[in-house]
Amino acid sequence: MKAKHQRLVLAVVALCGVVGAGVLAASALRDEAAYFRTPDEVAGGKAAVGEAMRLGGMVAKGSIVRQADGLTIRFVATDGKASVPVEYKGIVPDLFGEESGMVADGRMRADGTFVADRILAKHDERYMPPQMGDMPKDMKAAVKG
Amino acid sequence: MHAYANPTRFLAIARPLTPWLLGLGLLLVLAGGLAGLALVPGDYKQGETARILYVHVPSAWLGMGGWTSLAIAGLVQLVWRHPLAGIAARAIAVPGMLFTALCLATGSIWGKPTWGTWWEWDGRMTSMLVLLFLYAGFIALTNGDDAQRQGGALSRGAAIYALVGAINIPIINRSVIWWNSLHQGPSITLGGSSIDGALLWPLGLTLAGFSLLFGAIVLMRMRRIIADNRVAARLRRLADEEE
Amino acid sequence: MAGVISGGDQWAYVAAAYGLTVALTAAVLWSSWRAMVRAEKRSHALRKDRR
Repeated sequence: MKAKHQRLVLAVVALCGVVGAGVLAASALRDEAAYFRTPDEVAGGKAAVGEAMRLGGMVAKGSIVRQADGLTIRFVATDGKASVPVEYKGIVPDLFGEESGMVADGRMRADGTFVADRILAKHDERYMPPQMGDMPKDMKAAVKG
Repeated sequence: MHAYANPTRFLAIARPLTPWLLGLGLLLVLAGGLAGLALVPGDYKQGETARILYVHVPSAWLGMGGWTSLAIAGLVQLVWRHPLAGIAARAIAVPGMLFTALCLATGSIWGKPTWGTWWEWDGRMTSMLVLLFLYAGFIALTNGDDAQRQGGALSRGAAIYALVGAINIPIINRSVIWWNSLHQGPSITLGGSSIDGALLWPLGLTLAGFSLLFGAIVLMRMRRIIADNRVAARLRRLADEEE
Repeated sequence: MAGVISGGDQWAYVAAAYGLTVALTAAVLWSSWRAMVRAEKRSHALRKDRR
């Protein structure tokens, strides 16, 4: 009986140690492991001009403007706290659109515009049938009761 | 005698249980899969590709659930020396790795049309890939080792490896919350589901169905190990008698 | 329409994901089943052989 308890205590102590180390490592990695930076972080001076980085945020409503060459688009990426203008030349994924998430690879230009050389669409966690997607939010709430 | 009494009692339950898990699992997977393919509408934004959800989410759940049970089995083996724990851990490794690989593959197939990329090194995808490697390491560590020939218990090293590897499970789960990631946040939380009910119900069927199939695979693999043990034990006895 | 996946090849992705899942799951199910049946047959035969 005693040996069993000893092993249990040892296992629990070891487990706590491992979990503690894991949590410490994870929190230390908080910035390093981030897949992208937010407009708020960029506004806070976390992006040096010309440094390769990833910017992630929502495409602001009504902000997508197609340039005269037909290939270049400009839009504003926002996270609700700050926003960054983005310029991109190329094809965007189907899912890319206003009021929807995106992640862009690129770098900041001196004038404060983010020049992207690749854009990915970010999906959010909502799934619903097409008819409901077109409904305004309050109507959706009414339908659901 | 402790070592023999338990597998016998286990087999008395496992033998009749295996065909039930198998049959019911296949039925539910078939029903959920067909419903997910044909009965429910596509998503308002993702269109038809959203249907990948019904195979992706169960494989993610089983890949992670597999390692959780593997770690618990490792703990039981380490502390209580229960003879079935090591056998269970060995039986879980291959189906666990299968569903982890399926999770990565179906996620990648979904990612291409949705995100516009097959693979990105974000927190969720990287930690899930680490889980795949953990399974591979566990299989390499335990397959054909001395402990396997001596009844299927885990060596102390393998049991500790199973426990330490479990740290990755909460990391996978929290990765989309701790770190900015390309992968979306959790759709189903304790607070409810952001998957509309019209699209959600086939997921319940495939989740239950694949879980039952996972159980059936584990039972079959455990029965195989136990049968191999008995053959080895009898052959040893025969050899002793002949001397 | 922007922001919506509308291409005609969507079903190809769906078919690939489902096909892969079915194929790999069936392979592991089948090999686990066969290994179990063989091992239990061997064990059973040995028991009949010599009590």
